[in-house]
Amino acid sequence: MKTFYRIIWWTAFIVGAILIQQFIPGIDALAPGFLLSLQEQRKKQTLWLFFIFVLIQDGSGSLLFGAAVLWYGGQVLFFRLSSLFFVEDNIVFIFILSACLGLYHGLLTWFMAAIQTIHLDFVLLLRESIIQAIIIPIIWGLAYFTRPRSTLGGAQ
Amino acid sequence: MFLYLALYTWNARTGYLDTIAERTGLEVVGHVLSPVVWVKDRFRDWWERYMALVDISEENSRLRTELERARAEASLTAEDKMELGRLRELLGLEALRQHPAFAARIIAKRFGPQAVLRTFTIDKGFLDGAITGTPVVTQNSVVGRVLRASPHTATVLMLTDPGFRLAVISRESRTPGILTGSISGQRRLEVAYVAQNANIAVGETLITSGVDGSFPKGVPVGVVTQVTPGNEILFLQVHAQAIVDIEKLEEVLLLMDSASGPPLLPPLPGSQTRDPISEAVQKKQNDAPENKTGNARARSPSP
Repeated sequence: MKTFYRIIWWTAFIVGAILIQQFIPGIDALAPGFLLSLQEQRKKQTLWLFFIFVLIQDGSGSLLFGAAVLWYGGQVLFFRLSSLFFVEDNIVFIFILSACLGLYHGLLTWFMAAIQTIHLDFVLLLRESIIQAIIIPIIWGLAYFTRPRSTLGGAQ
Repeated sequence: MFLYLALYTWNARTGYLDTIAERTGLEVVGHVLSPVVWVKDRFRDWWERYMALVDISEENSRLRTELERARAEASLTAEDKMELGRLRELLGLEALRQHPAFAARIIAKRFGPQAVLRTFTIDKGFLDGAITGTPVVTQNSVVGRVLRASPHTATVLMLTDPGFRLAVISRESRTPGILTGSISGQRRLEVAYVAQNANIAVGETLITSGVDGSFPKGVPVGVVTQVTPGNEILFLQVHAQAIVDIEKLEEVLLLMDSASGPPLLPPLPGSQTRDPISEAVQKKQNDAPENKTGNARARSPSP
């Protein structure tokens, strides 16, 4: 039953995140959910989400396939590195991680655009990176507090 | 990392992973956003109709349409109309009007963190005819072309993206060039490879030349805003402004390949020429609830 609720909750989260991305162009609203899943330490769930999120972001984007793999792969790396120094289940941890991911978003987009010889609007990229850093804790907070307690806990 | 690089390189050559991502991820996005946009449209229509002074808005709309029609008729004398017909034929605008077309709703703009190019998402996919490369226009201007397509959703590369290329020709001086978008400014365009001795002037309209084989000849694209001699290059530096403000667009038309579209019957003597673009727009307008309501009202007896 817990699995069923989890699927329902994640479906609702994905729909909500897609709607947020429609209103705020150029940002990833699914990333906070991925961080939440990493915090819950459910490897199987995180792996599923990784595939789904990569397909959504790479399929709807305009870069060649692979940018979203590095984006979510980078999140795992940043999460692991940050968790060495901070307590994972903490809002400060999320703030620091968000700042890192905002910077990473800008650098990754610049890198992927450069290897595909795409001209970038750097002012727009800077603005979106800042928005990305701001929006992660907000969505993470919403997701964290709306996630049913019955589905939390218990690493797989 | 080695595996990633191998996959990335393999995909860059074959595009298999791109196709999988398009047909799953883009499709999911389309299925989530289309109903939301539909509900939003219906709500907005309802709001405008019932909450924002319905009758005055309707009357204003009708009077504006009549005024525009009257102005157009007044300005076009019989000779002008004949000349217009000849010019349209010359410029290929009739070709555009006779191209099979269908309307699409824009459901998102620059969706997601990977939307580096200036793109928007529409609610039509390759099953509807929106295949990669399909020209996207409005009634009076080029908008872009389909970049990626899933079964029911597609991503369109905007005309104003720096990566967009289109063969154009100026309407008066017939100067050819390659039009591209520009990073600076939402509507700014640049025309490359214009010969130094070309007579292109500010204010001239740029139209598609048709040599790229995708867009019909003669579709307006932009207006020349600046012409400066190139100092170190052999070409003029020509800047233009897009006719249409794509950021404000909500609906677009997709031109189908005339060869693959429905066969056009030769017009009978005295019959009107078939105009698929107007038909598509008319169909869209008829589908809109306000028109349905309006028709219902028109049919209902007045109190």
